[in-house]
Amino acid sequence: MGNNATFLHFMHRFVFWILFAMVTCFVLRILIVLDLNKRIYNHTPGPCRVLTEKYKGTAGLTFVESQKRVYVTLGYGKSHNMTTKTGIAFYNTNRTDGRSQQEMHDLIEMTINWNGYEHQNLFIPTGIDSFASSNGRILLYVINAHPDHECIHFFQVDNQKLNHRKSVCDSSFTSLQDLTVVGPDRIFFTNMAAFGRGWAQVVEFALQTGQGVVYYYDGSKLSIAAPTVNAPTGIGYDSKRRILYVGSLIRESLLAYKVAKDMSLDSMYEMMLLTSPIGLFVESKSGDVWIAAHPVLHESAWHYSNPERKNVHSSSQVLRIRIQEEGNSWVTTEPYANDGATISASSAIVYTDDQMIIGSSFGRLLHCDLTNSHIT
Amino acid sequence: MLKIVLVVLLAFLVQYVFKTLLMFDVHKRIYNHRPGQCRKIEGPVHGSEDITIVDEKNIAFITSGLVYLNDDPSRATWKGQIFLYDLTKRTYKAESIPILNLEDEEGFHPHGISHWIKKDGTIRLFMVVHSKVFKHSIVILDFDETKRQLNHVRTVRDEKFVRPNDVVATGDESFLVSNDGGAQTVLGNAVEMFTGFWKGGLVYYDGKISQYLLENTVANGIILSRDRKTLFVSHINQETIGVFAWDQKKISIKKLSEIETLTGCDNFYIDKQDNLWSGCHPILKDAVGHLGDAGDQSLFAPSQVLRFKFSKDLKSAEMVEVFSDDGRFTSASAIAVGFDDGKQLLIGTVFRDLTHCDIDVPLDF
Repeated sequence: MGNNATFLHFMHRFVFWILFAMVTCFVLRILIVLDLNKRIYNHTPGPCRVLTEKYKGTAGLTFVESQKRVYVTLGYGKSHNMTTKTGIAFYNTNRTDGRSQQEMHDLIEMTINWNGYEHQNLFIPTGIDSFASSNGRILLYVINAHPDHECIHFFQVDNQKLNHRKSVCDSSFTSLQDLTVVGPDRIFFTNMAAFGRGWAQVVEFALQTGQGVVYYYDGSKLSIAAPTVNAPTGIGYDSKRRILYVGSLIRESLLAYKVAKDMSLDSMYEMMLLTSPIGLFVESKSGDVWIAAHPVLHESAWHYSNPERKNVHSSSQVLRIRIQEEGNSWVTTEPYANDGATISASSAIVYTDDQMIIGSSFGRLLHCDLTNSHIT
Repeated sequence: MLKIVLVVLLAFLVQYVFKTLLMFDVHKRIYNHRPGQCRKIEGPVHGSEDITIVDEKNIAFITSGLVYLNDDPSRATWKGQIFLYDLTKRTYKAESIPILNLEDEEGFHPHGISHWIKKDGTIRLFMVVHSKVFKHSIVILDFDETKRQLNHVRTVRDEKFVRPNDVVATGDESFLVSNDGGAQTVLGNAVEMFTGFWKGGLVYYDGKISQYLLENTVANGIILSRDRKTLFVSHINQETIGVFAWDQKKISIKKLSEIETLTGCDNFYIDKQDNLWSGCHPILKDAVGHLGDAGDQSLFAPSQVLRFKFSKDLKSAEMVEVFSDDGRFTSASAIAVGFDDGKQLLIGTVFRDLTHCDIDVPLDF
């Protein structure tokens, strides 16, 4: 009896200390993920200017090469209770069409023809991508981030107008982030977490388990392409090499998948970035991956909780991953970084013709010229 | 009671380990970017740790061949040298200047450097020098422009030059010296770092006697502002820059502010617009290997160049990161000099070569 009691006592102590160690490690890991003791140092790749700060959010960007247009989603801040107009605009990147210096930096708001869609008043666009068909039709795909109406809208571009075609919604869409087009009406998109917002989402992130999902929609059917991904955010597709890139907010990494002919995903590698990727842009020719990131997560957390407060900033960062020829190694450069004073919480990026456009979650749209794009 | 003590000790240990991990920057990495085209300068290969610019002549003097915390003197197989680089000609070649009449030629391994222009126009160089067995002195040399050589004037040894890192000339014979610690060995230095009991400081030498201005701290790079009224001190291990008011007449300093940089800034340069430039070590865990073994060419450490624009009251500064490299191109930057009105940049490193970059991007935005 005496020995049993001693043994039980020892086991209690042992289990206590193991649990204590696990909880301590858990807490310390969270503190590390929050990027304590980290800061951003400002620099630009060339002269930059603000294209707009009228809208509370310019969170999604997509580039249509044939039109030389960058389409921008406006007003993501509305999903965080900010008062703002929402919509879609475009920016013309053509520098040789004889427009004045002022006109060159104009953003043109588009009119949306909803064709009687009943939930048009719940429109809060965020992630966006495009498809240009061989007959010149331009299709836009837009994530709707309204907490009561998480869907994907399909539009067709008609010059400065958008015609709504259809919407894909599902009860499993709790936290849609971004999408990428792989063909006409065929898209991969990310659902970041099981819980859409609030403390439940915070706890989910703190546990650092993979409750996020990458979906595939083939034009008629929805399926899960990658289950249990840890907080997937931005997504981009290299059509030439058939590689799908997915950013992970909590793991601060970029996941690469090979896309098979049947559109199934085969995990290739995980690139540890030590910054949280939010928006991706894949250059079609080179396969370089541009990333708009939140580099200091505790700043982002505070900013997302207080998006209206002008003195609360979140650092912004743009990375460029130059994938080397054999595809297994890369060189990372940082074309842009800002402590939040110029642009706060960068969440989208497009690069074309020595120009870089950066969108943010709750504020400005920034345009930068790249003085030395070959080394940036 | 014992349980409480144990719990408190355990909590202290956990927070100490965590703070140490953060100190080593385990959760950080460097991303490469350059402000323009960059090229290596031929000449210095065993370091270019500090640079002083003589504006009147548009030339740069660079120290090379540093020996630091050298537990094994036989491993210091390289020579200590002073290089000269003409800032007006894009030769990308630095010239090694012969030094005459040194007291200890074999034991000449320069570290920090500064200059003073004498009344007759002679350029006088002051430099921290370590011998192969890590004995310290401040060596004063005069530059003979015609013969392009350096003539030894004086070697100053003082018990207060405990572990000198940098020097700032304040007169023909007077100078400020920073001590970056007290330990003379790698192990001793590690103890200082891990315990936080810093034994470095700041010393003023008036030509005859020395006195402490700061004690029990870390003082790495030091520099005076152009009007010689403000002293900037790198507290590299605390990742801050101390800003002090300097009174040359009273030989006194008064702390004005401390700027948190979250990176280890090494040496400084002040440009004509009063901006402070520095070569920094942004990731400690990546730097320790390389900085602990200068001879191993396979090792490298990240580099970062920051430019600080101070507010009028010197209590805050805007920071711009002009250059950043994971170490494969420029390893362990120690000094950065922006010249030609901020259109060009020189970057010196602790144990490797010198880099010259163009600055094609705006630094004020």
